[in-house]
Amino acid sequence: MNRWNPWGNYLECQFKFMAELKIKIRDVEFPTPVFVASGTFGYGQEAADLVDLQGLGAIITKSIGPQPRLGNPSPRLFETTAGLLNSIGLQNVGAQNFIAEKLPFLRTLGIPIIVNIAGRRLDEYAEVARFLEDHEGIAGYELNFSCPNVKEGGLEFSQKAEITERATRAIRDITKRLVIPKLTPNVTRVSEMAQAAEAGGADAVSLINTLTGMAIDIETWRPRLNSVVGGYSGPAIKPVALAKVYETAVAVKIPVIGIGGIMNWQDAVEFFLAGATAVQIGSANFVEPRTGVFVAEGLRNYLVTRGLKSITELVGQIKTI
Amino acid sequence: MPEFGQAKKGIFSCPVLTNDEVARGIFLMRLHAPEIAAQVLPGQFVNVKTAPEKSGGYSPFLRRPFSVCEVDRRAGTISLLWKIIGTGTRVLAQHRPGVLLSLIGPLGHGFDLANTTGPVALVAGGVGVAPLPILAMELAARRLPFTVLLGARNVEELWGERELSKLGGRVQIATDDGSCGQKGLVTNLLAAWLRENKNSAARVFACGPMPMLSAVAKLCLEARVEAQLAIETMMGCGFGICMGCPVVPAAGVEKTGRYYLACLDGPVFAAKAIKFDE
Repeated sequence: MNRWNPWGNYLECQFKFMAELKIKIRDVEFPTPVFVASGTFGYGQEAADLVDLQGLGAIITKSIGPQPRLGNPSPRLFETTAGLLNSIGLQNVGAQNFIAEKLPFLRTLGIPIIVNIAGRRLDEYAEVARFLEDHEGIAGYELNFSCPNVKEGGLEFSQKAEITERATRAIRDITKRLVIPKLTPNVTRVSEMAQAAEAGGADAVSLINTLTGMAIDIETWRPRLNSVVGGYSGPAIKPVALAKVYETAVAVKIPVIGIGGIMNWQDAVEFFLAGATAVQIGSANFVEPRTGVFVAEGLRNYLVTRGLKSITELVGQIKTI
Repeated sequence: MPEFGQAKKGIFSCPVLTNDEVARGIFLMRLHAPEIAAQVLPGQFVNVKTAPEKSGGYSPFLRRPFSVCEVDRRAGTISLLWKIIGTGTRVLAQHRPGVLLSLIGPLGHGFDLANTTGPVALVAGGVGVAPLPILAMELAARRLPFTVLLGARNVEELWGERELSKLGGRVQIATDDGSCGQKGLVTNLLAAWLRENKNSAARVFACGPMPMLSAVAKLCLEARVEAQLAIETMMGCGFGICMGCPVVPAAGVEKTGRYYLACLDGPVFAAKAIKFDE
């Protein structure tokens, strides 16, 4: 108890209660704006012993394709300064096994589940979406238009505006659930891709996926990843991600979900100020799988100390003049 | 002794109790980790954040996986053994008693002692001796006699002789330069042991670098002796969410349709279950 203010703790509790983290994307309500990013949280169950999963805003699953996929051979990971290179290669259980083995657990959590879909061709995205439509407990689809680690990993879908629009519309026509294209930063202007996704009927866009990156062993002269070039993530890429989110948020009307190097609540606050409606925690989960829960707690305290009632009051409030 | 499959992993903040250089470049760190100590099985590992709790800083970025070396279930302590090879291990070597480290564990599948009636050989290459003391403790508790074959570069980089003999092991040593025990590879010692113990009940438990494990696997397959290998590999998360530690099944991925993950399916594998680089 505070010596000068015997009501301090009591009042703080009241204020905390009043700081609202809930957000809505179209008609879907998320308990917090802090999600876990695809490919950094498996299918949720792997982390169940370690994390209070119900404290997360949403789980975005590992990418699901029409068929199970082996993924790439070793080495798949290489640690860099304050970051990570990866080349997992979309290892996944396939749509049917996902429904049978993974979704029943996710459904019990009571938080929105967003399935990340990856395909090699447009018809594969549609095939997976159509298949998932028949099953309850999925709030939306994040479209992996940007995996750098497999040949035709969908990357082309988010490198050409008209293809991004067409691919988004193809899924929009199939579903009433949320459609969220995930965009690559490896383009000249990511905001143009976001506008194309918006034109195609997207409910939101999420960005950034990994930057392309590589490393070489100077003893053996071999690349550090089996695929030579891989995806670069972690706290090192946060400034890049923030700039892309800022660029996109001023260019589209749909919500932007910010991803890239978020390690703590302070990082997340920057993304909200830059214009993100929600954020995703990625590589941080490998080091501290509870990061998503901690960030939400930190945001709640931040709102209280700043006298704000809702996280939405923070979105896009960067002062540039 | 906890049974397989019962262990519930957790994230724990653990104070360092001791951290000493026990051989040249090799450190033994003891930590107070009662939850892990109560459950850990021989061959399981913990994933350690190298920077102290609340210290911030993101380099090295990932945790580092270490086999649990020794356990004192009554005192609630575990110890980890590692060799300085890079930034992560260098940072860990500097921690003094009292520092709080974040550990995730116990993780992975350890050695399977079901149907082990003896004779038993424990084989280590270098710092691969790490998971052997906890395994030796368990064998001693089951009153199973065992032989320990230790391989090291030289006598300065050798650890475990005293500890493993104290647990009742008959210890034989091989060093590359002959500065202790037999000169040559530890697999020569294993070949001799296999000649003397060629029977269907014989078991080999090994840990060390991949080329050594590959040689152990080959010798044991030829002698038709079952072997379990604890592999050393780069890992990301340590509990299956990053999928960064693929291991090729013996039949090949084309046939099985999937890679093993070292963190979930291992780090201990039956020698006949995995494929080694040619």
